[in-house]
Amino acid sequence: MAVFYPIIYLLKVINFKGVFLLVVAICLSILFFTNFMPSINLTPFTIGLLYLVLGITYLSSKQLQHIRSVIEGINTNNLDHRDIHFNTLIDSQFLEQLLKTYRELGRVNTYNNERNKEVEYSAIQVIDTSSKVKDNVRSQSDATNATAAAITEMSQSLDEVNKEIERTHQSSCLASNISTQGKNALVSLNKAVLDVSKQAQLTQQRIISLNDLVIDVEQITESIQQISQQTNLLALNASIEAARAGEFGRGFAVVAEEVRALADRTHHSADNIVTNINEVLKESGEIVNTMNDVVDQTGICINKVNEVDNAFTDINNATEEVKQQMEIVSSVSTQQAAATHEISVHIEQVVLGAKANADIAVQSESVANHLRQLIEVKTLPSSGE
Amino acid sequence: MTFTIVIILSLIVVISLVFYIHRRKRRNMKKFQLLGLVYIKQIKKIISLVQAHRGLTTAWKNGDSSQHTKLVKLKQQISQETQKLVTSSVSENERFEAFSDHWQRLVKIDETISSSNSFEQHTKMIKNLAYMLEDTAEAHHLTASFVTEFINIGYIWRELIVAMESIGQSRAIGTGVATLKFCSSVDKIRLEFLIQSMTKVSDHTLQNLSYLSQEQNTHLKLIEKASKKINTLISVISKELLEEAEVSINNNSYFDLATNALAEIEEVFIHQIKQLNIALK
Repeated sequence: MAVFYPIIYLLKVINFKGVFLLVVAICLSILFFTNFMPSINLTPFTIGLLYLVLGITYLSSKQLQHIRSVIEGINTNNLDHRDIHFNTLIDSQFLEQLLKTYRELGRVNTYNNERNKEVEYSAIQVIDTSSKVKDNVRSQSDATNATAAAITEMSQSLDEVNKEIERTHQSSCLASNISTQGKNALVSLNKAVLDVSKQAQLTQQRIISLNDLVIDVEQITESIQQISQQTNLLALNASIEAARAGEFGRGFAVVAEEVRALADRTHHSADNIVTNINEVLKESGEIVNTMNDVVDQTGICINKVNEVDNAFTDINNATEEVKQQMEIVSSVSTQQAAATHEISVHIEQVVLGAKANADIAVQSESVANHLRQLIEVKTLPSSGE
Repeated sequence: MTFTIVIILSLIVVISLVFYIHRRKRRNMKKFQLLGLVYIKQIKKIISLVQAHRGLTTAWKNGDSSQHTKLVKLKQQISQETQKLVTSSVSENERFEAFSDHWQRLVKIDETISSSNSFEQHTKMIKNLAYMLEDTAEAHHLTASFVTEFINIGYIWRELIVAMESIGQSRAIGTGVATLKFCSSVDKIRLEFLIQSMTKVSDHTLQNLSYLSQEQNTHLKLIEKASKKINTLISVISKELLEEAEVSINNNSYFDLATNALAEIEEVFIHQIKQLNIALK
């Protein structure tokens, strides 16, 4: 409708109210001239009036359509008042007020959107934190279960350890008793050995004495033998001379008597030898007896040694048993140490998890408080608080 | 004949009147818009000061007592700059009264409240000032309907201010973290969320700003510089504050880094205002 452009321009430059007043003034002028100056041809005024009335009617219709289309086109998602452009000739105060209200509404919307975004972001962080807490708790639970299993295992091991310790104790007692017996046997053996030693010494002295006597006897025997040989020679010579001399040889016969006396003494000496030999025999008998005692004592010693040997064998057996049991104890102890170490590691994990949970809980609390504060703010900061 | 003369004269008068009114309206409109730019610059200045006050307050409340002198000076500056708007039409906006009241109350209780509470109070005030800036821009017809050279002029009054506020918040939180040498979960969530906002600024807001053809080169250079600074800041926040188990960056170094990024965005803002001045004149 290009024909209405002049009036549109006119309305834009002045304003709607001004044009309306202009139209009213023209109407009044027409009435004035119609009533007081009927001779004037009013056709152009009538045409102008009609033009203005039609123009205003058309514009009013278009303005209303424009306002309706602007209102219908409002973006309710962002409520941005800058998107609204009223190209209208109607008094702007009304529209400005409308725009101002919409602007405030848009700001509330923007403010809430920002808050919502921050809350959403914070919530994501809380969820992330919760997820970490969950993982930690799960880890703690696993560690606790493993700890419980390890403790059960350790308990069973401890029972076995106790049994083995009891057995070891009994074996130790037995070994102790045997050891005492062995000790006693060793004391007796020691005493017997001492006796043997004394007897042996005595026997040795006697053997020395016997040897001396035998040496004496030997010397005496040699003397006797020499004397006997000399005597025999003399007796033989005397006998020969006496025989030659006859009567004269009777003196020799005296000599021969003397020789006989010597022979007697020799006889006595031989007796002494016999006596000595008897002494020797006697000593030898005693030596034999002593040696018998020695043999007896030696027998006793052998028995004692056998006993000691048996005792030590028993001790060895007992010690071996103790050793084997101690190996078992050692093995069980190793298992126990491993289990204890595992428990220690798990407990450490539990402690670390608990500490991490505590820290996360503190942080979660802060985040939760932050979220609460965000939610609590419900008004725009227009009042200053 | 007389009638025709009357008609012609009437038409001439009407056309002259219309033309005069039209020119006068345009002249007044530009004057009004330029005045709006003056107010906007002043409001923006107050926003920057309050943002700096928030950052240094966080550092001070987290144990850096050396910031106290700077804070006292900033308080005086904010009060002085606010005072300049008291006689202007901006003061008719209910948000101005709300800000003045809030600021005066905050100054009284600032030393006794907690760090997080102080941060919240400052942030609310800045939000309020940002709304006031946008209100002022629209009240002074600094919109796409009236400034056709800048189709996305609304981005200057909202998105760009929000961008600066995101960096400002990350500066305040990060300075607190760098002072304490510890980043709590809440601070991490906030910083990560702000990183998302800053990434959006770098990728979207800055790229959509309008510019005059004769200012294209300067505009693009400023955008590139600002994007680089933002990306550097994002990288430092990620590596130094979020990923490290123990925060090692110095609080003053971080504050300066964030301030540099903020300054680059402010350069973009100032250039936009300069272009608007050119367009309106």
